[in-house]
Amino acid sequence: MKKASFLFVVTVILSLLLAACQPQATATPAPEEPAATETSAATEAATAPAKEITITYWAFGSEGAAMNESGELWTDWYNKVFEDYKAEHPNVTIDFSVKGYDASGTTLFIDTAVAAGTPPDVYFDTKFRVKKYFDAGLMEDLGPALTDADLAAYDPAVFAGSKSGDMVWSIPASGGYWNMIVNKSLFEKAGKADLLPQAPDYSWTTEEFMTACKAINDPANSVYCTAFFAGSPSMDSATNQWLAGFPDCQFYDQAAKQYTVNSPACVEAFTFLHTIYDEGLMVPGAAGLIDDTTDPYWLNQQVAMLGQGNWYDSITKKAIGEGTIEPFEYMFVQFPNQPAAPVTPVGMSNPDVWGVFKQSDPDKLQAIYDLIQYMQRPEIASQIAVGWGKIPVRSDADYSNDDPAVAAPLEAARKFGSYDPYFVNGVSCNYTDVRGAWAESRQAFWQDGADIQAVLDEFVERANGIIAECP
Amino acid sequence: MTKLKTLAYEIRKGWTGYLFIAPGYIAFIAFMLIPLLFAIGLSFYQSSFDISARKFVGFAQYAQLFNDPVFIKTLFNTIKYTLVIVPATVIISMLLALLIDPLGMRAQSFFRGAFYIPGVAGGVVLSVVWLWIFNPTYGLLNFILGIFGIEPQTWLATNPLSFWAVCIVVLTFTVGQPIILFLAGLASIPQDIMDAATVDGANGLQKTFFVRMPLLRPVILFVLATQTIQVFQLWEVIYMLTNGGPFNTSNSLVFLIFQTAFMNAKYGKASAIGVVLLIIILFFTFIQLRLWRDTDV
Repeated sequence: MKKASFLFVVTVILSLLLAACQPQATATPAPEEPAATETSAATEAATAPAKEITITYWAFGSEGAAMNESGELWTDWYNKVFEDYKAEHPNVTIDFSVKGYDASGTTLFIDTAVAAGTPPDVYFDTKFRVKKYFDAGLMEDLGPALTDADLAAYDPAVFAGSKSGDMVWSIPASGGYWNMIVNKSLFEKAGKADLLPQAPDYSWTTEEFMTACKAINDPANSVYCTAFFAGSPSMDSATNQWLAGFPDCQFYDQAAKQYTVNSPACVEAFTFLHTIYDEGLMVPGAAGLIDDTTDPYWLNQQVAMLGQGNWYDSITKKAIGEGTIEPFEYMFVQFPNQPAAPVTPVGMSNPDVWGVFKQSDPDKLQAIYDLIQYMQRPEIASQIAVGWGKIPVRSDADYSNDDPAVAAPLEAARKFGSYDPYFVNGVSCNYTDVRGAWAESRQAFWQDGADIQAVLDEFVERANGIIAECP
Repeated sequence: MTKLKTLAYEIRKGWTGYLFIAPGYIAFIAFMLIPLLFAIGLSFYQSSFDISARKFVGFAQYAQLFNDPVFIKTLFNTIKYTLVIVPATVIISMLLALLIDPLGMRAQSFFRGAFYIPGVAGGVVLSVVWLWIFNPTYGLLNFILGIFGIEPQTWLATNPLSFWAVCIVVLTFTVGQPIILFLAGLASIPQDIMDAATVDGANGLQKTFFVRMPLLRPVILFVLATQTIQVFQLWEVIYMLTNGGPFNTSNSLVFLIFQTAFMNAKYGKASAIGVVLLIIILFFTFIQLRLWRDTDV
């Protein structure tokens, strides 16, 4: 009897554990349970209440994080927006939460939820993170959520990266304006301010850039002209943005579906970048640096010029506001262009986008389309953009920047067009793997005596091999 | 049949004992054995986020691994880490133990604590400290080099410096436990053997090489076995310091598993790498167990 009891207890425990380890049947969310109050189809009349729908909405960020300009907490702002939405759509409940980044900058929250079969319905994050799930065939086409007027309003360079063929797999809410940011105070102190680009275009050539760069560089006093990052796949766009000044360099050939960044024009572009390294004009250790490790250099005025201007604009304003750094003046300028090339278009990088995971309930999908249509309207999307220190990507958005050092060059930049440094010339399938290979190549590139042609050839061979495996 | 009866009798006789060990075994089965078998099974499938939609590919992923330059590079890195860190740990910890052993009780306690604390602090905490020490502009290491007129180095971003930087950081927390073990081993050497060596005219060095070290052989083998397994599982320092870079020259197999599974969502391929790692560790463990058996311990 005792033996039987013991075996029974062990069997039950093992069964429970094994049951817990069973994989979910599907990664797509289960259909909504009918609401308890829902009436039967037979008794449904025109006056019957609409079907109760709950939409799970995850946005990146962290609990307690405030919006850039207003200082309002993101969670409070979202809850207010959703309350307004609920007033118009009483049958829709939005189950909202913010999900912070993990240290590696990946989307482990979503990965785990997808693997468990419980992804959110709506996912708001940067475009390349959402693309990871699109590549896995997990995202819905959001075309039906947009009107023709919406489609016409979007910045074409940004919106092109959200499409694959005719499918709109994401909708952008914002873009980072990647002008180059310059510490004006450092140049003024050195008596070299005349070397900087001037109004009205704030543009300069690569030669003019190098002259200014050499003039301000002073490693003995830990002041460097600029910095690059290659410590992780993230920040590839910080390098790619420079290619906008070399229009003959095509990173990816969309028509041929081949990476072509080893072309002579690209080798010329990367040779120019390596000159900055060879002449000691940049913060040491680019192969290991990420943007976070570069922030102190900028805030402590140890680097004079950087790409990814919107990020540094935002952290500088914050640090000056908190009194944690000595205030200094800075300005935006365009990225340098080759002497014979047109002025570099402004980088519209790192767009934050909405994506929607595959749905099995058509009613719910329609409700999600309605919600996305509501959120992407310029008056809402603009608040998200400004809240993240970015700018709206719709031409009908009402946007202005109070800081003349930012507003004037940004306004000038708009006449030179825009450029997407993430998905340059389009984007291939299996981009997550390509991106990993590109990070590795950039790390090889930032080494003494790097053979630029060989590094780019190796990347192109690997990247084209990766896309050859696409389904 | 008789054997089964005997087994049933044994279980019946000692059922309370089995009940006591049941939690451990159930945890082992649930959290080690089943996931291990599941991972081995998964390695034969191409699998992404939705594991239920996996596709059977047989040994294809294993074949691909050995044509994958990143895997090959990472495999060699892992072996290099083992060949550098394990002997260095044994030699350094033994030397330190030999220096600490003759000291008084208080001094011994102090040094045991001092060398053991980094191991308790863990690789992540130490890596954060070392990130600043290795910083090319602000770092202590480059500051010291500068005093001697040596150019600053980019420790974490240059090949092969990043590999050696990881080795240095790992050594700071791997030597603590072996020091304690060696000190215990040294304390267990009978005094009469040392006295006999003294009477035979052996000097300090001879006593160390010809008396102490042979008697410490079981401890050395134990340290070798545990350290080898530990170094093969190295990843947190790499995650914190170099992310495997530059261009995978400091990557390890476990970090590659992390990247493959959790950054690229290729669970089948990551499982295949895990199985290869398992086979390698089993191989080394088998060799060490054979050596251990020959020591008659």
